[in-house]
Parts: sequence; C-alpha cells; structure tokens
Amino acid sequence: MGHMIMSIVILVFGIVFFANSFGFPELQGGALPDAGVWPRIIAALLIVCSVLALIDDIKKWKKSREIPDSQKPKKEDAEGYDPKGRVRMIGSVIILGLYSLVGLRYMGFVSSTLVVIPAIMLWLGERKWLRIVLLDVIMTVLCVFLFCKFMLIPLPRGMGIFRNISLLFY
Amino acid sequence: MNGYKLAFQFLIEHPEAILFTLLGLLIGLTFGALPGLTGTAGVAIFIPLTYTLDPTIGVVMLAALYVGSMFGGNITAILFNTPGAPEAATITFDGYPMAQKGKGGEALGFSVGAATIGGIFSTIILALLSPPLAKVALKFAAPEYFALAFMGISVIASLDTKSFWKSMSIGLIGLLLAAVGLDPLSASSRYTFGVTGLAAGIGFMPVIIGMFAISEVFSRAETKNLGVVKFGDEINKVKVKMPALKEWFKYKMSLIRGSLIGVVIGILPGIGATTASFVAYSQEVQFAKDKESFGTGRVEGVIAPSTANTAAAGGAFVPLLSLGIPGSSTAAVIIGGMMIHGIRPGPMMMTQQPKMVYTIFLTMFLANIFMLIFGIMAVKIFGAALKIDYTVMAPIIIVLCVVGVFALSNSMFDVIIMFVSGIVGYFFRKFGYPTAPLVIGLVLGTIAEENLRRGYSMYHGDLVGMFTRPITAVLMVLSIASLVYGVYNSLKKEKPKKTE
Repeated sequence: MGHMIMSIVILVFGIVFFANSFGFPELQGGALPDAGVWPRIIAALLIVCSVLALIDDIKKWKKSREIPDSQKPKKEDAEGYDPKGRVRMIGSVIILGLYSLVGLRYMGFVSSTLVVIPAIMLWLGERKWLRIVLLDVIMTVLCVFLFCKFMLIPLPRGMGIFRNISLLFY
Repeated sequence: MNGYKLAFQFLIEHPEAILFTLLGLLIGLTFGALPGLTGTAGVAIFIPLTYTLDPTIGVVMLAALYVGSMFGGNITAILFNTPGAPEAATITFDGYPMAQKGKGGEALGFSVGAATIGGIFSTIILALLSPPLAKVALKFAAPEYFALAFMGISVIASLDTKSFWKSMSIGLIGLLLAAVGLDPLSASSRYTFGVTGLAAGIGFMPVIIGMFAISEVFSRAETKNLGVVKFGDEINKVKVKMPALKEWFKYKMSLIRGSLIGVVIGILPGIGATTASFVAYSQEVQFAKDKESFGTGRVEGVIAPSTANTAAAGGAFVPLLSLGIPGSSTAAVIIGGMMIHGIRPGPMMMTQQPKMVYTIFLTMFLANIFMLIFGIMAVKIFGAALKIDYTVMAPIIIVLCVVGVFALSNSMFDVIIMFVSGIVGYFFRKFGYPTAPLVIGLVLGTIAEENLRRGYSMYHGDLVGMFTRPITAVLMVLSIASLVYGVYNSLKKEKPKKTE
C-alpha cells in the first residue's frame, strides 16, 4: 500500500508542476522557446512514468492479496526489524528538524550543537555518559576550529544571550 | 605533455595535494569497509571539507576517496563474509572460504594487489582516452551539449534498480527541481510558489547530502541495533601475505580479464562497479576448467572482481572528465563537488583546467600505489572505526552535514532543503525508489534545458535540422537506444513473473 501512496504522491507532484508550467510568462519574438516548454515536457513524462509505476504497484498489491495471510512474510521476520524502530526514526527526524529549523537560527551553532548531540545519542540508545560528554565537546570544538578558525566560515550565532555565548568562541 | 608538466609543477608547489590524496584514500577505505556506508555517502559528506581547499586539491581528495572506497569493502567481505559495499559482494564467494581455510591473509594480499593493478590500468586508460575524446567534444555546439546531457540523463535507464518506471520518475523529478528558480534565459520566476529562498533555485549539494547521508541516518534509526554489524578483533589478528611475483604471473589472465571488463563497464555510463565485479567473476567461472571449485576458495574468484572494481572506478572518470557525463552515482556526486568549486566537467575542462585534469591523472595513479602500501595497514588502523557504535557515528554525520551545507552559502534555507531531502530520501529508500537518478537529473537538468533552447534558437525552431547534425544524431541514437534497452530490460524482468 505504501508503494502505491508514494506513486500517487509523485503523480500529484507531476500534475502540479505540469499545471503550473502554463503560468510562466511567454517570450516575445519567438527566438527562444518559452520558459514553460521544457518543464511542461518533463512534467508530462513524469505523469506517464508515475502512472506506469503505479500500475506496477497495483499489480504487485493484487498479487500479494492472492497469497493467504499465513504464507505472507511477516513484518517481524524481516531482517533488522525492530518494533520500536519507527518511533526511533520519527524522533530522529524531530530532533534534526528542531536543530535545522529552530536551534541553529535562534540558539546558534555552539549552543544548539551542545544540546543536539546528547539528545540524538540518548534517543538512539547511548547510555555511556562519558562518551556522550566527550563527543559533544570534541565535536563542537572541532567544528568551530575547522570551520570558523581554519576555513574562516562564519557559523550561525543565534540571538540574544546565545549570540553573546557564540562570541566567546568565534 | 604540457599538461603533465603543469601537474608536476603543481604537485611540487603544493605537496599537501599528495597528503590530501592519502587522506581521501584512507577515508574511502574506511567508508568502503563500513557496511551501509558507501563511497557515494563518503564523497557527499566530505565535499564540504573541500570548500576552502584549492579546487584541484579538493577534487583530487574526492577522487582518491572514490578509489579507496572500491577496495575498502573487500576487507570485511573476505574476513567477515560481509561486503562493506555492494561491489564487494562477489569477493565473499571465494574470499571468505579462503579465510575459513586460514588463508585470509593471502586472500587480502591477492585482493589488494589485484585492486592496485586494476586501478593503475584504468588510470592509464583514463589518461590515454580522455584528451582525444575531449578534443572531439571541443567542436560541440549547443545541440551536441544538449545531446550529451541527454545521454547523461539516459544513464538513469541503465542504473541497476528494481523498477525502471520508478527510476525514470525520480530522474524526471530531478530535472523538474533543476528548473526551480529564475529561468536563466528569460529571467522569469518558475516554481517558487511564493517562497523567496527558492528564487535562487535548489542547490544540488543540500539535496545530495540530504539524500545520501541524512536519509541513511533516518533509515538506520529504524533498524534493530541501528543496523550495525559488529566485528571482533579478528581484523587485528590477520597477517597480510603479499603473494610472490611468480604467483601473480600464474593468474595473469584473471588480472587482464578483470581489468578490461572493469574499464569497459566503468566507461559505459550508469552501469558501475557492482556489475563489473559480477561480470568479471562470471567470466572467471566460464574460463575455468573446474567450474565447480568456484565458491570454495579459488584465488581467481578474488582476483578478478577485485581488479574489476577499481578498474571500473577509473573507467567512470573517462566520460566524467572528457564529456561531463557521470559513469556512476559516485561520479555524479563528484560532479556536484566540482561544480561547487566553479568547475564544469566536460570537454572545455581539458583546455581550461589542464592543471587540474592532469593532476587528477597523476594523483589517481598515486592513490592506487598508496592503496598497495597503506591499504591493509590503514584498515588495521581504521579497524577501530569498524567497532564504533552508530550512536556515535550518527551525531558526527548529522553535525558535519548541517555545518557543511550551511557553510556552502551561509544559508539556513540550504539546511532546510537538506533536511527535507533527507526525509524524502528516507521514503525513496523505503519504497524502492533509487536516489541516484534525482542527483543526475538535478545536475544535468539546467545544462540540458539551456542548450536545447539555444540550439532551437540557433536553428530558428528547426528541430529536425538541429538533431540531424552528425554528432548530435549519434549521441541521441545512443541515448534513445539506452532508454529502449532500459524499457526492454524492465519488461523482461516482469515476464517470468507472468508465466509463474
């Protein structure tokens, strides 16, 4: 079912891009094709390919329905399956999302990285505190040294107090 | 010869280039050896570290990383029956049985020696073939450049994927994403949906890093024990035994066959090292008198795929440097790394950047020699990395990726693109959609569109005239043949299921 949803999402993506391509301004004079021509062709091809992929997925889904439940491979038997896996994955997405969308912007690199490294390690199951603290400090210092001091690339400083903290380091 | 003179001069003035070659090789060896972490991910993660390096040194380091990753996977394949990378899968067939018989050190010796020979052979072919190919390509105008980009895009059809239509869909999404932002020819805004950040377009680096590195972290988080294969201390106990010269003569035909197969398959766009190693192995079986002994620890079963792997890596650089077409997914990521430094691989590179091109030739040669000297030793040193928990690896990868993407243009928007690409990449992996076609589409999309429109303008809208230019016609026919073959292959895969 997931495969079919994915194919439908791609099909919708193709339709949106195809429809949108008609809204681009036309060029006067006709020396060059309009800005919408190329994306329109590609989006049309995408619609065709995603429909064919969807047909393939429907065929497979129908075939899998013919197999009795007892003979179907169980999710639990799949290699590497972990019942807690999905929660762990979603948590990782949330942590990285908070880091990329909020943490770096408002807290700056140093403060947000010092928080995010232990957060992701603990979330993934790490329980050795010494290891967590060491990696946290080493990784943050290493990045500041490598990017700010050595490569002279300014990392995000954050706002308010976090900006003042970052000024202590770079 | 002038190019080589420039390259030698560069290496003398910048001896650190040799150090970065070695560093790239060691990183590649480690990434190749770690199951689940591929050379492609390694190149993607380490591109940001090349930002402030001299462009030549940066590209040389990435090329060496690619070479190293080709051999790294062989070590775990031989010692633990676990290929570190897909292209090392064939090495388990005879390498692991050799290790079980107590000949692990010998198998590693044959493997590293064969990989070095394959790598050196392919570098020589690269140095011989690229300049004349680029010379021909110098006569290209917009129609030929479009045909070249189209040929690169048609590579998607030959990529070894589960579904041809899914692979094509992803490639087309890449082409559409390349169209986002201001149209380069008319300056009109396309697909920005009112988001200011999209006006500058979608950068391929945030997408590449998100798709290859961040999605890997998400996928690992979902699996039991984070999908990590734990290795014991065996790696430190094995003593590598380098075979004597007469032993190598005994297996000369396996070396020649493996090298030729690797180079030819490497040059063909999109096929890659995995196919090369399988073809090389099957050819060894075909040529052997006692075919049934394969799989029980035959030396030829280790030599041929090891040679073919690294030969394919060098082969993939031929279309990359001379035509700007990626020979493999790692090569597509390397093109991204080059473009970050303002270098567009292709025919003009040979005349505009001779120093870089010839330095790549020389350092790839060096990287292969280093592999022989440091290959096994390095993995023993980096053996510690094989025992690192993923709970430690994951935050390192995340922080390096986030900082690397931000540093690209000091843009938080790029970090958001990387994050979204990571989530999309996770779903692609989960539902059998390959990620490499998206990168190929994104990198080649703008080139294809710009040149198609320029060619159209050149011929005043006469598409027949445009596509019947001799070289354009040949390239287009080859590309269409590749697409048709992809469809045929996809239908052939379906057929046995119908007859069941």
